[in-house]
Amino acid sequence: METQQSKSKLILDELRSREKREKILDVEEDTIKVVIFSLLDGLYAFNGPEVKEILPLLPRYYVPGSPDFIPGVINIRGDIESVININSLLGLPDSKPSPKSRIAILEMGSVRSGIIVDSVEDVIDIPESFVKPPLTTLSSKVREYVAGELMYQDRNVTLLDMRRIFGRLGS
Amino acid sequence: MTFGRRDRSILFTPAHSGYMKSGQGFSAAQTNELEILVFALGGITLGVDTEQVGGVIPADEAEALGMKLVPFSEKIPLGEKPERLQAPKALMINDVTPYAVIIKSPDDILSVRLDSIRPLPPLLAACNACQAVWGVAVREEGIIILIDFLRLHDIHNQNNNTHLAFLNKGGEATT
Repeated sequence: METQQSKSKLILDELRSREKREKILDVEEDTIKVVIFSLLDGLYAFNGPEVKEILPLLPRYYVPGSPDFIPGVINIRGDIESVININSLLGLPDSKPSPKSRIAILEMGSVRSGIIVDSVEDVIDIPESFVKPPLTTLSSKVREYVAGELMYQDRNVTLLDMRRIFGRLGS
Repeated sequence: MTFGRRDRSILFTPAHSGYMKSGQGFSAAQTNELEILVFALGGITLGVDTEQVGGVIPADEAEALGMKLVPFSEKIPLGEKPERLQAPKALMINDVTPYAVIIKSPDDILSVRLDSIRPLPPLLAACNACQAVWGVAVREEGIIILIDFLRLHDIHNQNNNTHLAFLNKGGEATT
């Protein structure tokens, strides 16, 4: 019996020790910053460093001839930036503007644009390993714009690949 | 500059004589301002360099003169159902082949400082349908979308080499 207890103790000790090692590994793993936002019922995320600014909804001016996913331009302290309606790119119905609606200004290389979101939920740092491959259930059109999936407060969050989105829109 | 002259042949003419023809030797060093004719269509405030404008006359008179008339919203989508114009005006464009663009009416003539003009953001500059929009004038009251009517004409020629039917396609305007 004593031998048995010792063995179980040893196993438990070993498990605890493995857990500690994993925690240490987790801490040492590279983290990424993500900005979590909502669109309709879903949660989505931008890569944090790409987000330069988050603004309330500003007066928007339609530019004749602009495509459906660019509903206009906004004036940010004298600079003119385009605004993207990401719902249409993701095949979602349009959102209704609300007091929580925001415009996230994203910048990648020489391209800078605002993205309309329903609300900004959080800005968090997560280990890179928390980002899983895109769900296979996503349509191929949407999956093209998705960098991966992660969990936030037991909810699935779709991490968008804005570099690819900007690249596609600018081409 | 004259609006509503009795003979109604010209409702608007540029203020200064000796105007340069469009694109003839303009240099930013020569002036710090750009004079634009402002008009609104579909709730959008638009502006065109007055150098490109030969005059503004009632559209029916322009039609009677045999001038090529281009409904603006037929060249560039305005994002909403075209409004029905009760007494449209023909904004005559100075070009090798003079033509006129149909607008509701001219609203104002403004001098905008060159440093208040911004180019289109990259994502819009890449958009083919926006080719005739060359920039944005930023003002306290809002922004003015700057249209290059010569580019608009080029787009027109690319898209339609046949003679243009005048208006009322889809009930856009009434003369």
